[in-house]
Amino acid sequence: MGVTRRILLSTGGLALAGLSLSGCENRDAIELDLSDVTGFSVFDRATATILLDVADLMIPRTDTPGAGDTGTVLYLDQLMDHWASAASRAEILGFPAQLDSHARQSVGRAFRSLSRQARFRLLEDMDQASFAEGERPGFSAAYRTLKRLVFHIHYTSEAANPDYVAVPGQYLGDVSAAEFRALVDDARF
Amino acid sequence: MSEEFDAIVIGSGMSGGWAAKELCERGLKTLVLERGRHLDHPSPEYTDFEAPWDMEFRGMVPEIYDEQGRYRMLKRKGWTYRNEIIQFFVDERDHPYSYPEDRPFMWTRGYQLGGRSLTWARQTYRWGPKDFEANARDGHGVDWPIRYDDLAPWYDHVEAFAGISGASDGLENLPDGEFLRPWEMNCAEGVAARNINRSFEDRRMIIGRGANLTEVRDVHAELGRGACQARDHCIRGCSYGAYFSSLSATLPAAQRTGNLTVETDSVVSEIIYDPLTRRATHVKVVDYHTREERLYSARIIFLNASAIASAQILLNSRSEAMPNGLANTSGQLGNYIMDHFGHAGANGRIEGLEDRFDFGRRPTGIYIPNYRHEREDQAFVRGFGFQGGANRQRAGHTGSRPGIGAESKASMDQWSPWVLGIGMFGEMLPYADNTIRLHPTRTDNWGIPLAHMDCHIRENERAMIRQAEQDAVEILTAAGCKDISSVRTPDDEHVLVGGKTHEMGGACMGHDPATSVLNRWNQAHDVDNLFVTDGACMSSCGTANPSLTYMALTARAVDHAVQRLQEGGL
Ligand SMILES: Cc1cc2nc3c(=O)[nH]c(=O)nc-3n(C[C@H](O)[C@H](O)[C@H](O)COP(=O)(O)OP(=O)(O)OC[C@H]3O[C@@H](n4cnc5c(N)ncnc54)[C@H](O)[C@@H]3O)c2cc1C
Ligand code: SF4
Repeated sequence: MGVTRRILLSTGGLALAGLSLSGCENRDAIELDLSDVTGFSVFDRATATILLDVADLMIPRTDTPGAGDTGTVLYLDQLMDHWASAASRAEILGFPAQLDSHARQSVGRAFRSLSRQARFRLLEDMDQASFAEGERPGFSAAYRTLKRLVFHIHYTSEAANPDYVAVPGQYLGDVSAAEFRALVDDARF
Repeated sequence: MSEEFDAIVIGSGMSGGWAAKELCERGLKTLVLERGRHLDHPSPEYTDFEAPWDMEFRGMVPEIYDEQGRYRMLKRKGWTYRNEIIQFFVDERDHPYSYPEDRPFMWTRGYQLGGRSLTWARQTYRWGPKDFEANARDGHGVDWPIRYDDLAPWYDHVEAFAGISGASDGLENLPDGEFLRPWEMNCAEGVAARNINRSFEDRRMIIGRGANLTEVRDVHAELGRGACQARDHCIRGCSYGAYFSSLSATLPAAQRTGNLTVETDSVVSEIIYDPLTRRATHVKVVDYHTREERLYSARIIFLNASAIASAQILLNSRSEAMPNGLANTSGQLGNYIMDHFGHAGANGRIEGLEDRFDFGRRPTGIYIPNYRHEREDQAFVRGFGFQGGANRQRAGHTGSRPGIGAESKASMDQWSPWVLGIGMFGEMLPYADNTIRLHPTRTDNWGIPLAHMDCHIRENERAMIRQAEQDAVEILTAAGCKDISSVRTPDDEHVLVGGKTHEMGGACMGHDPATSVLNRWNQAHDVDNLFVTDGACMSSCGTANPSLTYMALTARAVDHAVQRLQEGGL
């Protein structure tokens, strides 16, 4: 029933293949360097490129890892194959084209030819509008589906969970921040 | 072909495991018949060691199930709809049941060795004297033929073996037991509890009592059970055996006597009755895979398939002598179905503890037991308690609200304030016309008529829901919470019976064979060697989680049955 544990565990390695767009603060328009975008089985390179960029704009690398660091879009690709409903799959696969036509309508240019700042602004506006609109179908719904999945995947990754302790061994109900950090570090290593 | 045993137990879940243990330990050759698959303990199906990033689909149930119409009710239940535990829950597409279209019923099942003892939330409270007196006092349902004192020694017995953590709180209607060390309240709960306990005469906030081993005593260590590691992954199965389940505790205890036989993949369809001897002679099983029928016989039969399933089996055990189902001369079989109900609660912020944290994942919460018994100044009888807890988390990683980019990410990495939340657990009255019946035309894959549930709450429960919302706000205000928000299901919205997974009734205990199905020993009035000790036997539903009471009733009934057997009375 779907992705086996073996395949999923192996995505950690594959994920790195698609990271050429992540974490480059000074990057401007997306360079469609298709040779860098590998390891995907459902997304074609153009789709993967846009989704990698969108995920990176949503959750950029700061002092903590971003969606690009956590292999989020590669994992999303795996979900399309084994997990997603036909409706979600259509939403996600259709999203880059919709985004592009939205960009053309709003600012008169293709999404990928915009500067990073302009792409972020466009996405941020869309983010506000999508949630303000509630549960309306269409482009907003596709955006919400994508966002929900990107956030879930990123925030369940190991890099995004520095406080996760598999076996705490005890429960303490009242500790300081320093004690908490020490307990976590002690239990994790 | 018919194989013979001293005793047969139908169902290996919470109550069936206890029946098997107690019967085997008294020297009876005992057969457990379980419709689900075999599970080892620890089982390869347990997922307790999987970190969030190791989980298949990161814990998300495949969306394709929606397209296939699978697990609709489990999805509706919400918090249990997780991919890493879905193997322990039943898909009603494979195992259908029915209800009137405008009154859906939620029947959350676990068909495997150990039943729902694998997935329960382990909250374990004795019922108090008032719970057993309630039917007699206000006239709803049939009077319990026992009182708290009848059960008290059996609560002692099951608590010591299962291992229940808790504090001795000294409350009138929530009796203390022989507890293991309690979990500690976190700092926010500590503040709230002090404030609540100071503000009210009648309302007490205590630490939740639960079946997790905060200490390992000899009785637990002998079975290979280890101490709880505060992971709160219990619902995934615990490789340490640190919470009580049939797999970690009762079935291994039964096994070591050498008296236990377990047959899994064995769907019990009916119990066969001999009118001449007034005895149940055989249990008929349909093989889960081959659908081949088999018969087993024994001197006594314990029915522990869970409340609804046990009533269904009895209703399906029709004979010339008992055309309306086995043990149903009263006509009450399948009546008085109950469940606890929620549908009101509140939460609020506790301030001043921004620099305090908790470490570990405590597998229990807090409890505010029912404080509304026997009050004259309210629009309903009985009452409700609250369960909940306080926690703080990173401000939230949800992709279901606005916000993207570095700034939003930074704010998501901040710790949220402490938030205390409480939700009601209301006592539903026993209504004779809240029923389970056999569907007149539809059968399952094993040829058994579907269970058809027709249940709804009435004005008494609606009044409680309204009151509980007010009380929740009052309690959180007294606790010192800020920004309190409350929720309540509106009066005109259907309240799904079964939502709390505490189904009770269907074969109620009572004094009188004309108005009840079972006597004070959980023995069928009509059938001497038949005992029903799961939730079906409950004459009312109280407000506290019921499983500990099923365990105590089971151990008590076995003790009685075996004594009768030895005296030649069965
Ligand atoms: C998520 C969740 C949380 C819960 N939390 C709590 C809690 O905190 N505290 C509490 O007290 N209770 C809790 N419960 C309820 C608790 O699990 C049940 O009360 C308890 O398991 C009932 O015991 P039982 O023996 O009647 O039934 P079960 O444990 O359900 O066992 C019944 C067994 O009978 C088998 N069976 C059914 N039909 C047949 C048949 N025809 N032939 C053969 N075998 C059959 C089933 O496969 C199953 O193994 C919770 C339940 C769930 C699901
Ligand atoms: S919290 Fe305790 S009982 Fe639950 S899974 Fe962890 S160790 Fe086991």
